[in-house]
Amino acid sequence: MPLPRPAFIAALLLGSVAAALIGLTVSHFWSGPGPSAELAPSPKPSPSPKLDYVATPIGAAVSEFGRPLVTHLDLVDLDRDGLLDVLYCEGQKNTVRWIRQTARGVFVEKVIGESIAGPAHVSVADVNGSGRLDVLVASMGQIMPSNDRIGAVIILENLDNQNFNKRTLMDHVARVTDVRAANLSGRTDGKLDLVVAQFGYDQGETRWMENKGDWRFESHVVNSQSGCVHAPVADFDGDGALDFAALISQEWEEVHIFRNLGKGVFKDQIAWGSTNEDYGSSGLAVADVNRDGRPDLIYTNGDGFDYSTRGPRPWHGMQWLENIGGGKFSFHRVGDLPGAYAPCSADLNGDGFVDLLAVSCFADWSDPEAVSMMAWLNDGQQHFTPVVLAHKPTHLVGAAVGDLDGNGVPVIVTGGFHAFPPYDKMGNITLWRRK
Amino acid sequence: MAQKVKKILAAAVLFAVVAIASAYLWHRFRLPARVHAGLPALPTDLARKPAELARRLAAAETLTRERAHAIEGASELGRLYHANGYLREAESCWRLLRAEQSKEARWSYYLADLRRTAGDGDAVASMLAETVRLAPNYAAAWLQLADFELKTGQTARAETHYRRRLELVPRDPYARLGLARAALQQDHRSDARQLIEQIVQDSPDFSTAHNLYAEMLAAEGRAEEAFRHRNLGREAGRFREAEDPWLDELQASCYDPKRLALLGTTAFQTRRGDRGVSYLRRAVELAPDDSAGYQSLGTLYLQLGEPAKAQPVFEQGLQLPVRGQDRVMLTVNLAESLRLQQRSADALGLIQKALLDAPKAYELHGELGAVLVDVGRIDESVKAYREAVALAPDDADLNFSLGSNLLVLGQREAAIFHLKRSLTLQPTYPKTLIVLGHLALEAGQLEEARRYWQPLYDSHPEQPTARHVLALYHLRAGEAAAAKKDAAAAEEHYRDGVRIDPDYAEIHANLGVLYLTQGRPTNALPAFEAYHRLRPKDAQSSLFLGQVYAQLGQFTDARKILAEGEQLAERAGNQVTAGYCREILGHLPPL
Repeated sequence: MPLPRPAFIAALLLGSVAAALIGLTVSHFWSGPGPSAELAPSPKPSPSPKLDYVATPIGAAVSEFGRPLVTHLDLVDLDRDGLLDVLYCEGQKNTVRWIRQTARGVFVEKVIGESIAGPAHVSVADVNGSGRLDVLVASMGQIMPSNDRIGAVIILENLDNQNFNKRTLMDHVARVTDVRAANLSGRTDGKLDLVVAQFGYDQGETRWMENKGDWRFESHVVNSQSGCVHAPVADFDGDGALDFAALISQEWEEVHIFRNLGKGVFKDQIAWGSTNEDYGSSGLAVADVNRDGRPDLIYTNGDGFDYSTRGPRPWHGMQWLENIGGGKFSFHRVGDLPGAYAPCSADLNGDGFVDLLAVSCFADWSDPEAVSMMAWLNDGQQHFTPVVLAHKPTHLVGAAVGDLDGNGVPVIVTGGFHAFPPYDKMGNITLWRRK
Repeated sequence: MAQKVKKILAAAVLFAVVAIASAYLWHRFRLPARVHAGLPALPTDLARKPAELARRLAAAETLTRERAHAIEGASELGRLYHANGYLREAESCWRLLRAEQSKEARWSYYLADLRRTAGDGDAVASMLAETVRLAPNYAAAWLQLADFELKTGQTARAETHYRRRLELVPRDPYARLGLARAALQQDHRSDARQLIEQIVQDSPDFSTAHNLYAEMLAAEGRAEEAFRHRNLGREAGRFREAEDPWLDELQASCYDPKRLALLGTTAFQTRRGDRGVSYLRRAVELAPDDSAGYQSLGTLYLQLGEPAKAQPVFEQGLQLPVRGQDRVMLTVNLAESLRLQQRSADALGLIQKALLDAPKAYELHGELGAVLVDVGRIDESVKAYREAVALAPDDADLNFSLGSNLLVLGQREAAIFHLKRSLTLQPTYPKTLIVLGHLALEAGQLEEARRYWQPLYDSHPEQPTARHVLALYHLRAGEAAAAKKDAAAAEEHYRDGVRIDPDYAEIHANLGVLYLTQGRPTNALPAFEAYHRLRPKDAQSSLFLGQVYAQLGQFTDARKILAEGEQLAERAGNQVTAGYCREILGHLPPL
């Protein structure tokens, strides 16, 4: 039986209202309030927990150079007297210098390598089985960008822990940025092979040099990409043979692992890479960040040498590549640091976990709050809290951490690279002790 | 019964229509509220930014309140934030827009860009995957995705996506480079090599392929080809990223002078000078009281070889109350732009006045030296350069300038000290290598000259002077070998010389003469032809060529060229050469 007309209209109206209400409700709750305005939390430099350091200049005074250009430094016991020393490369005078710790806390500087054009990296190893540590120097020819083949691999052969004989193993090649010694070919004679990073500019490469004895080396190029910055050595895949990594910047911005397959064969594989051509890769080092026994990689990006408008970029900072086995790595961003260089690791606050540290060369130095040294404290779960350690000296490229005082408390050593203004907060080599 | 069902169905349909329409209308009605809820607050530091940025942000924010323009406003805010370094705010906008317009690929693409900046690989991968799903024809996104995959060890996926890019951009060097690198990762070296060769052939301006190819060739011991490709790579200039219109269009929303300066200089470095000028002009307009903008724009004009345009820019910068190093550099650059317009007297006055205010600025002393050289006052220029070097002993340019001017004054020992100092600082400093090579040559130290000129050529084979001086070494070395009767060594040097500098006429002539004296006219012919081509008005070139034509029995050619030679020689008053031409003509068989 049909509904009477008024009732029909009323039913229609009621139905429509109900439908509209349902529609409105569904629409309202389904679409929600829109994406949250809340932004992802940004790690801000924190004043707490506090880590206070006292800075002490050591070695040559700033005035000796005018504007010091420390390109790299390392902490080593070069003369094996039980006291850590500081070795550094200085680009203003083209020298390699040894700040020897003659007695605990007493530092005496000596130039051990002269006329080494654009010294960029220094490391030590007993290359030829003499029982003494030789000094390996990467010579760029000139530090500022150049595509010319002006690089060299130089070894300062340690004659008697006081005198060093300069040997040029290779020259007139794409600019060399890193040389390290390692037993890559499974030798049993105590001699070591070399890993060589050649930044070049548009043209560069990565190679290893097989020690043939009597200071003769045979080169094997393993990668032809330009921009290799550092090439640290470790057994990354855990097979007992030493592998090496390479940080390849320029247009590539990648970390490569060269897995040692034996018999001089190295398998090149990309561990990680940024698709940001301007990422600014600046430093790579080995550290077991999560203490799982596998060597991880710590990695800074903050390079500004090639910028015509130098300065920070929002993506500059620190990251670590977790070694997940089988030569594979997982990327973890640690934090921001404009102009970051020289990734280091140490237990800075004594809590038993591996903290990270980096310095800055290309921050916005017109800002008095710009950070020149930053630590990231590890809570043991690889959650890092940034802690500002210093605002000056500015323009830091080199840093290293070690137990210089022999008391188990890590001491930081930094080097200033003052090629760019402002020049009002300069330093050469600075030693940082915890208060 | 059926009718009742129909009625129920009709009522249900009507109910659904009304519900859906209501939902839609409510959704539309709530748009501005949703947009507002999703947008971040305006940044608090805008007072320190150009007013134009604040004005545009405010205008865009107002738009978001209008129902019809809320989306437009939000996207404008996103562009402004993204392009001016407010990355977290930009991310909020793009997230909001992605939620509102789920079919628009740009939003996920921009989010991918921001997540890339934050080092968030997982989000980059997912946003790029979304982009290519929504916009399968946007080639830049496929490249980004493939590059990301290659760099995170997903080689097979990367290969697939590089191929997709190649379908969209046939012969694309970026995709081919990616495929080559993927092949290398899989130890497929011959495939990689083939792809690199394809790029070198199809995209000769793609420097990276030349650079990689050069190293491949070098590893095979093919040094000369490697050298050639290194040089081609250098000539092709810096690597530049693939075109990406969606990211590029963000730059139009940049109102941050520092960012614009960066964009401008990057554009110049990648051979987009016009675009660079436009960015830097905008930087100056936005911050007319900041001398850095004038410095960057003026310098770019100087680099582009336009000193007349640079001059007023530096002058405007100097009208600001700038002090210290900024003032010094503006003055030095203004003086340079004046000098380049042959207005050295004006430059001199400018620098002398500036030195009164900044007597310790080595840059001013250096520029004073350059101006004084221009006006021929070498004694004074040396004094100025000495001042400059005393203040900046490790500056390669200043050491070279001091050394080269000391040389003009005859102070050779001091000159060589400073020239060598410049080489210590910059081992391939071209001007020093040229000068020291000439000094060695003058002193008869041929191999010493080569020690300077070979690295010059190796570093700058594209420079005519570098080619010329190394060829000059080979010319002199060839002559020395010929004098010692070592014809083989002489020939080798001459051949090296013309290979390095094919336009060096004297070397062609010497090579031709050497062949003739050895009774090898067939070998001499191309050498003399080259000599004559390079020196068509030189009677001697006609004489040599005619002589070799005659020896080879090409009498018609010989007659023609010798007649020319005779005329040229007589016109030049060179009776000896004219006589030789006549003599050979006289011995030719009659026509």
